[in-house]
Amino acid sequence: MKYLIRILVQTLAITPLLRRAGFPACRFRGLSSPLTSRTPSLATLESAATGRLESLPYMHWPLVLVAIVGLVLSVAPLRAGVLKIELPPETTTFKPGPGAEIANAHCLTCHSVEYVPIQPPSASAFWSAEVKKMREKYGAQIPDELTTPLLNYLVKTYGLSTNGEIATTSAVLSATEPTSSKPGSVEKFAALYGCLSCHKLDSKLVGPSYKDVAAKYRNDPAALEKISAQIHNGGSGKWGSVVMPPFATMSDAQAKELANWIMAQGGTPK
Amino acid sequence: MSAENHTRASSLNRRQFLRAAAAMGVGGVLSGPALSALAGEEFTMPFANGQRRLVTFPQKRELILLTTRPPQLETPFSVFNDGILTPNDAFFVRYHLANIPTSVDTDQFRLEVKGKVNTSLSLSLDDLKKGFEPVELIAVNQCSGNGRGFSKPRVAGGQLGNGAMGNARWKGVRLKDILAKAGVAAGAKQVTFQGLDRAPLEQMPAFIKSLEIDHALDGEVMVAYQMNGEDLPMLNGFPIRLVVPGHYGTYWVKHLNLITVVDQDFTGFWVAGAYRVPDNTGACVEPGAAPGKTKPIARYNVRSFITSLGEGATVPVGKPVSVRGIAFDGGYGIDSVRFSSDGGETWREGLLGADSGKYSFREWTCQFTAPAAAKYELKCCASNRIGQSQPQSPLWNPAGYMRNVVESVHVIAS
Repeated sequence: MKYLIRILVQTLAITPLLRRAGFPACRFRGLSSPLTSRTPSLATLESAATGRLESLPYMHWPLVLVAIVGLVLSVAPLRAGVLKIELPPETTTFKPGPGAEIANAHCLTCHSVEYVPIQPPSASAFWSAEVKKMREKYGAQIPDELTTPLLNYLVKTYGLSTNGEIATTSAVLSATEPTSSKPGSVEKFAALYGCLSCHKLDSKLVGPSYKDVAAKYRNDPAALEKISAQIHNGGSGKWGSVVMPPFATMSDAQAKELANWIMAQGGTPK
Repeated sequence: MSAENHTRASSLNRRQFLRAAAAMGVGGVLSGPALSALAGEEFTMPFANGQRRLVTFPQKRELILLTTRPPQLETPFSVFNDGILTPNDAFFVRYHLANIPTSVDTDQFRLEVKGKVNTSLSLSLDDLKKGFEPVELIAVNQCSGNGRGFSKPRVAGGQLGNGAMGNARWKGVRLKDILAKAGVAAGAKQVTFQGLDRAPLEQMPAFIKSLEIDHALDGEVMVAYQMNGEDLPMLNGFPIRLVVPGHYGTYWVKHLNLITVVDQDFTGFWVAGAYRVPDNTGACVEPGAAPGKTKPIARYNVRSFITSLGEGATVPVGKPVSVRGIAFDGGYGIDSVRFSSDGGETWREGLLGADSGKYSFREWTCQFTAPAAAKYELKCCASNRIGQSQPQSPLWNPAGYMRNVVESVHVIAS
């Protein structure tokens, strides 16, 4: 259903593309401008879709069909004058290596991976300046103790390695193995892994809120397995086009505990 | 539904359909292998770590992907040879903040005008289109970092070739008229501008830009609702953006919805901490040196390009070829473009094309006949009506802004 509506809305956004591919501009009756980007009102589309198609010699028929099918099945009202786009998914991921989790957790809050590999081949001073800039000017919430391991990862993986010390990320992170007995310890752990850089408890940030995640899986007996798998494998498409990176080095126990904690954010089931 | 689509789509060839599907965002309907076929052509920019690929974003043709989130897309340079206006679907895209608007309801959208004004305004798109005199202007929008990838030594930032620029016919309303309607109060010093895009982190500075009050009231700065006769593409600022003719794109705030008149110098990060250049005539320092005293980036310097021949192109021996290109500056107007076929040893005057206004790309042409089978280094160098021109060797600054060296294209006559 969701896709149908998207198709309907975005069918109207591809006119220049079709024109370029050799199709004449299509116009819907009743609209004065070529349909390049705007969503016409539902009423306009309906009149186009019910009976006057023969008067539209330049209409591209597959798209008309898509529009009609979309309309017939559409339940959500389409407002006049709404332009909606859907951004393509991110396809580049950070190269694996010690410290990749930190990059996944803290860099991806604000930008996709490409920001890193497009930079010129550079030694440690360059990457150090970048990490400093991200923290001090752009507000990146990278904990002090992860700054050096992150820098080492960037230099080793994307820079000109200076053969300096190599990150001991797993040591840093495993030292914070959560223990359920201590209140607040899972939050601290989630913060350290950078979970909270993209997820808030009760409102959407980069990813969905934990409350929404908990609500989605509330009646799913496999909730903990699914959430743990998402943490380990990452993925996209469940909540939008932004990719959640994989946190493959997190232990099963850690991931499970985190999943448990996330489910607990949903409150009591209704 | 899915099968039906595929059947109907068979009248398009597969690649066109995939492109169309990508633009429509119907990826979920297609199978996995079909999606992977969307990955565009890969190629390499002429600098280290210059691997790029072509991608299709909504309302855009295949453009060069710099970054996905926030989107940064560069125009393939061959587009600039197609005409002096850059088509909307080929126009470059540059954002700073990842939370960009993906849906705008034009009925609900309002442009707020407040601060040191007599009457705060909340203008709908209809108000803008019907309540003010519409104006049109052809103007270049160029990213401050256009050509940054060519900096030597290399610098951090978006590693762009020369495709982060475009020339469009903008239609909208004079900012001056909007401010007049609100009534600028005594003591007004600057005007700030913000759009709908937001930072994912509250600690990240909001993207707000400022202009001096005199600049804002110069009658040229525009709030544009059309680009080349159509609505702005979402990724170029739908439904309205600021147009600051002759000034770098950083000031052309997209999805503009808040204008604030202030009575002091705006000190936000994106003016006081970024988009600053060395405070000297060339906006440059010794390569590798610290910038010293800085000032906000402002007007474009003079640039010119050969567009009809790409690097490594072949030309015939003994037959005249019309070499074509574009030139522009910060709004004084191009008055000459010279052409060299011997790497800058000797120069000839090119022929200027139609004048579309002092803020527009200006076409130029020059005949070139290769006397022998050899490699030729072609160059062009423009100057404007106040005598500004282009340096023969690149000027450098730490942010890689304002590149305007005389560019070269090497061709082979055979």
